[in-house]
Amino acid sequence: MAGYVLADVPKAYGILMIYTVLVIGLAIVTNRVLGYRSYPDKWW
Amino acid sequence: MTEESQQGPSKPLIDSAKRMPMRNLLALVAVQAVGLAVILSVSWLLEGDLSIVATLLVPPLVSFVLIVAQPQLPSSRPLRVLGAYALTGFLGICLSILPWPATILGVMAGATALFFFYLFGVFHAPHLPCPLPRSWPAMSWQMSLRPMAS
Repeated sequence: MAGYVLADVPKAYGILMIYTVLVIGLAIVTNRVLGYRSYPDKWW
Repeated sequence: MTEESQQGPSKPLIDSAKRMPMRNLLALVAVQAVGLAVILSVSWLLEGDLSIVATLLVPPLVSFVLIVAQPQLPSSRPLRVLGAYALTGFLGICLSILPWPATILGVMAGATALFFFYLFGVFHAPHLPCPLPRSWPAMSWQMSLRPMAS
């Protein structure tokens, strides 16, 4: 049965973090393009 | 006779929400589609021989759409999203290496997701789908998106 093995954890986690940073960056750019310049109003 | 009963069994509802102008709506969809294309392209580059990438892809796609659609929400703030992904992503991936049935892992992942949802008020947690590769070992990202398109 295939699935995650221990050796996959660092790579899977790294990929997930790449996705996260990409999503946040794209969201900021998208809001700028659409004219919603208030995003992010606050970072936390 | 009360005032309510005089109005009859049903009252006309007035929807006070303002609709987005069609031009803005089309621009929003177009820009979001470009963003989704970028994420999918990066997924294609990252996938390599890792079938697990498929289950890591869906949550970021959903988060992107939600953040752009509702940027004013506290849960859309960048560091909250980053923190949620860093913490619950780690938990979900660690859960996935446990040699237990996928159903049990899925329930555990869901329960921990809900816990952190309510604890931090951040409605982005990517780790619920992480145990799924046990059920769908040969799934590619194209297959993972098929239920979303249907």
